Amino acid sequence: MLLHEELRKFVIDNFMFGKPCEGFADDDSFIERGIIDSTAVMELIAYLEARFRIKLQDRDLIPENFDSINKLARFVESRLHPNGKLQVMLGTDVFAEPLTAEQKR
Amino acid sequence: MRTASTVFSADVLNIDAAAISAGIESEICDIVLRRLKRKGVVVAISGGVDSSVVAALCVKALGAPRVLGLMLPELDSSPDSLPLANQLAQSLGIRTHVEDISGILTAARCYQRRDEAIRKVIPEYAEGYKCKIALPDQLNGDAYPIFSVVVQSPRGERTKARLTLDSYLGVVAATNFKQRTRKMIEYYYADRFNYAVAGTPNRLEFDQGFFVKNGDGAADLKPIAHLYKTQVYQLAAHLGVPDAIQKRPPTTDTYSLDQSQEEFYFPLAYERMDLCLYAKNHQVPPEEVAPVVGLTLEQLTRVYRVIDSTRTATRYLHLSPMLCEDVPEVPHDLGI
Repeated sequence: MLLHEELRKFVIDNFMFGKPCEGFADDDSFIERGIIDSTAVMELIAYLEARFRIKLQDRDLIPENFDSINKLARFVESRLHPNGKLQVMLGTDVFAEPLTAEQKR
Repeated sequence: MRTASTVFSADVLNIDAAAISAGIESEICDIVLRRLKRKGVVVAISGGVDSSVVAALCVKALGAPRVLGLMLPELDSSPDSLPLANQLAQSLGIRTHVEDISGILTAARCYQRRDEAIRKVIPEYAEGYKCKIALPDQLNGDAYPIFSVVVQSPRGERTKARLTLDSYLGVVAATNFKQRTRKMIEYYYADRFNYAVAGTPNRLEFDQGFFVKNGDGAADLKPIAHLYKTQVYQLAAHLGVPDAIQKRPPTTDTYSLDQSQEEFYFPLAYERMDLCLYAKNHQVPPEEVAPVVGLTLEQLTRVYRVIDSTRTATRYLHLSPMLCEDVPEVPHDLGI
């Protein structure tokens, strides 16, 4: 499963009770569609930090990084692999190599 | 009141305080005596301007003998609150009861539960420390409104940490004991004297859900819920509320560290927040509003966005319990 598919599944399972809103697309704004509020953002933070072993800073917590599936995927990829694109496969240990300084940040 | 030809200014919130006061007094009489059939009103007075104005309006409406002022301090209350509430009660000539709710809160483990939640993000937080929670600047950036906790050691060193969902919910759930305990005491006295309970939210608080459900959000009447806080201050001056209360900066008086309302909830201090809310409610063009409130268009847009998102997030606080089917014999307004 590609990263954005995993993120989409998390969002649908946790914020839509498993049933996606009609026509929900990966570029749709969570805010404009009323999908997440600040409590849901906190859930998302906890999930991202645990699943991808990244430490999010206050400056990361902006709609530019969090407000759609595609934005989330781009943000996670940039944090996991800051120098290039990495497709994260579900079930694959993307952390087999030691964490980079950026990931530990 | 603004008309199509007027220019937007801070004057839009000016009221005829005497006329507004008279109208509210008449409504209080009608609600308490005729519709609710109660003998008087209980008002929890905090030493802040909102509860002071509500108490003063109730005295004018019903007479001092029918108004009971309650002072409900706890361990984290500001030392200013009780003397100011006493000063108000003396000026109004109402009888009062003081109930320190710290014992109830301790028995309910309010402080212990809150402290355990804080220690999940700041392990060194311990006895003797003070705390508050705070939002990021909502005016100059697009940061999500995620709370941080700020603690201060007995030596004065401050530490700040972003709250996790679990710790945030733990802190809020624990501190909400305070408002709910106060309401329990208010209803004790209301039952004891066959009185109604007056709530004290202003329009900003009522609209934006700045209250605890079944805590300070619970009441039999809310006499100033339609008035912007700026207008509540005008009423305070008209009603002769003591100067020290009129000059007191608004505070949540919930956490042991000083905490402004804009740090905790609103993106701006009340004077500008009122104007933004009024302008939004009356569809005043943002280009007219921004210079009056001293904001850029971008900042004003952020404030409007916060108003909308907060309204959406807090609407459920106003709901009565939802039924799965109507019970026709119990209509929503009960015909009262």
